Amino acid sequence: MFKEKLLIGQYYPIESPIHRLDARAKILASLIYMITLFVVNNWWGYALMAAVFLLNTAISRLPMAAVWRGLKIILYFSILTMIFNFFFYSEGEIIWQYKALILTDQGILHGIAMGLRLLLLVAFASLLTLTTTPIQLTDGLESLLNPLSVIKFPAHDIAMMTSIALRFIPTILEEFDRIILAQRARGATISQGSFLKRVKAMVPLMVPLFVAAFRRAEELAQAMEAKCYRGGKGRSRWKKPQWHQRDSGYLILFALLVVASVLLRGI
Amino acid sequence: MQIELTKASYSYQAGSPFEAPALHDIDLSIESNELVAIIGHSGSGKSTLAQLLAGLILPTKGTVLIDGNKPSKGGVFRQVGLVFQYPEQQLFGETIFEEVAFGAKNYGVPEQKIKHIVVNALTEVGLPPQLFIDRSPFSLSGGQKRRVAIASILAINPQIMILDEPTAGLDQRGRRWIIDLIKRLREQQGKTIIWISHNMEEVAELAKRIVVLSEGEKILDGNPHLVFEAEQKLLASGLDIPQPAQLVRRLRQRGKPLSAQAITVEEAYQEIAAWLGGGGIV
Amino acid sequence: MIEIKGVYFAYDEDTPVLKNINLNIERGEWVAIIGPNGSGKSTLARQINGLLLPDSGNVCVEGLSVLNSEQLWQIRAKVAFVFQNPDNQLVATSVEDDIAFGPENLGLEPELITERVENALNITGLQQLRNKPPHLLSGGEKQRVAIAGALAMAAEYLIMDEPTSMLDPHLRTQVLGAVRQLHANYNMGIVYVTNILEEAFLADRVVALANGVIVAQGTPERVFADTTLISRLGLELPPVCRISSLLADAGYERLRGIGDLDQLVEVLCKLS
Repeated sequence: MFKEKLLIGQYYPIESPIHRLDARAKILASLIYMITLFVVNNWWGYALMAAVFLLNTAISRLPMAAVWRGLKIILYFSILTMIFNFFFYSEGEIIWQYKALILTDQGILHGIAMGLRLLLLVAFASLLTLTTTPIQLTDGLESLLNPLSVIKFPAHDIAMMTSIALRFIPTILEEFDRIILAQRARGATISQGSFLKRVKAMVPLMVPLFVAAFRRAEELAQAMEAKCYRGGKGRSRWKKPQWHQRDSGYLILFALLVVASVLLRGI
Repeated sequence: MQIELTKASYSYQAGSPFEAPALHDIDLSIESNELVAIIGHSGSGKSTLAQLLAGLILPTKGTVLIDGNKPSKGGVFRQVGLVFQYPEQQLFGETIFEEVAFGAKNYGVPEQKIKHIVVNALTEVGLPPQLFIDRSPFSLSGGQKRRVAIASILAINPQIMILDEPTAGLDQRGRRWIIDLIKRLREQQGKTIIWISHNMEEVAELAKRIVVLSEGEKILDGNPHLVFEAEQKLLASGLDIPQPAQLVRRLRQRGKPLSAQAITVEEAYQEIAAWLGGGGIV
Repeated sequence: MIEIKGVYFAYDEDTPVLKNINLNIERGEWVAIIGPNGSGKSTLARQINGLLLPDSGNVCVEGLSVLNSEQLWQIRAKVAFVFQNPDNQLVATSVEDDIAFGPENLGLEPELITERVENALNITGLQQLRNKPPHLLSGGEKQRVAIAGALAMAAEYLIMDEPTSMLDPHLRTQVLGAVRQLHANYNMGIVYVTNILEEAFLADRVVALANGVIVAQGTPERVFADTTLISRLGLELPPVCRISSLLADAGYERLRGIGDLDQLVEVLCKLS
């Protein structure tokens, strides 16, 4: 079922130093981490990045099972990335060849590196969502984007939309599961036949899903209007994000990570 | 045609650390042309049971058999038609014809027979085919949409009909209509009906057999009188016995000569009127 | 006071949904609006806080008019709304944040919001669930969150559009319990749209709507005593009421209109 496959984005409610950090610090740190992943170019670098991820996980006190659950699907993608890179990298000594397919020693290393990069990227991003409530996340996002509202950038609206999306994703996935079952009860087969047939078979699934989504959107808009929502105008925030020294400290550590990764390039 | 559940259990996300048991060790046997009501509050497992009976999901333990067979390829019992809760939410067709024909086409009914089947199904649910067949299902009122959704199951011509909360959200007229349909399907077409509900009052009128689910277990199974006798068990599972039955019970406790068999409004009225009349009161 | 004055409304021009509705509702009063599907009762409810605006006529709340766009927002702060579908009215990703959503829109100070949220959580008994995401709540819990939201806005009136029609009976009781509390302790005016007549019995006054016209109003006992009207409306009296009416028709006039089980038992025992 789709809902069971739902991966990242599920907040894991426990107490930890990472959970306590300001969402803005965590968003910025994640950004830095992702950029740094593209800076590193050798195994030392990857080892450092992996160590940073593991250390963060340890400090966040998340059970490995919860982190792992979110990574399962990404692992497939990583392996796929890895395999693709194996065969599309032509430099280095050829180990094996079949017609146009060639496998080189450097290709293997490159593939592993690419797979690892993708895995770490998503893994670190999932730490962010596992340790930050959706509302903190969107508030943090809004606060970070707010300076851009000078150039008419709709920071508040984007944050509100993100928050509503996070709120409704589980509900809509549940609904999709129910629609699949209901159409199967009417004899629909979903995963058989030619491509065209499969596309056609999606119609009875997608139409009800969209009809329901539009109805939801309309009702939700009414409910928001009834609660005096009129955009960011005249609105206050209940839980304003609070920046502490620990947040600055956390970011300084990530700045050091960038320095370290640049230095490691030379090795 | 007989449905037989033996020690059937079902868990969501079975085998994962997030396993959520929904049904536990259900034994249930339903005979041809029976009308069985399955009662329980939300979360009791009644919708899961419906899906199990339709072959849509397979038991994690135990078996579900129809006439001794397991679900066919593709995982559905064709002989079982399941009308989901709020079935109007599954509509997708451009026309009511397409909508009602959907199931029959999926099961490979020949094209020349389809028109006939659709016309019959629409007539059965009280929507004159000539007026409705080319309209969009989305142009209908809520109650009419539900009728179309039910017609699309009838068009498959299942021997066994499972209806999951078919009256939910309808007003009295809509409810009445559903109850009459259920009656007709059983009495005139000989179908087996499994009626899932949380409303004791509603099923008391028709069902000769009530199965009560609570926390994924079958706690009661028998005729309405027998089931309503077990008041404590029902209350503990968040269910009420119908008000007429309660009224009769209370009067009996006061020593009034009423039959405990009275459970519907009509029966309770007859009993009370007979008692008052017999007592010679004006 | 809510004053609905000569309201006409149509979604499309040919088919008016509300035809000259006049109705006053006092603060602290509990009014049930009953009628079959399509009678216009949900449309009427949406006129009160200006989610729909009258084509002609006017709706005023405490002297403010829905036709004035600035006053409209003041009205919405006074009149809270609970919708039929519990799923589609919770905005935030946790219970407490959803309760805070209304007060935030009013621009209240964070300390005051905290106070309001705590109070609302306590009264509706949702303390334990404060951090839960909406999709893990039962339908009854979701409706209680919506009611708590109304409380946190310090609304003076609460409009409910068939709030229990998608709920099990035992969840229904929970929701009604919360409404009763708001009514009793906060003198809130309640406008309760329903076609479940058991629930309408809780009201001080019942307003029956058919084809966009008010066809009857009065105390529940009085309105429900007219069994021909009720069946003409396509509604059904609660079972106890039906039994007492049948007996009344059979000559036991004293039983007419009794809707309470205990009361009927007592009166019957005295009769014999």
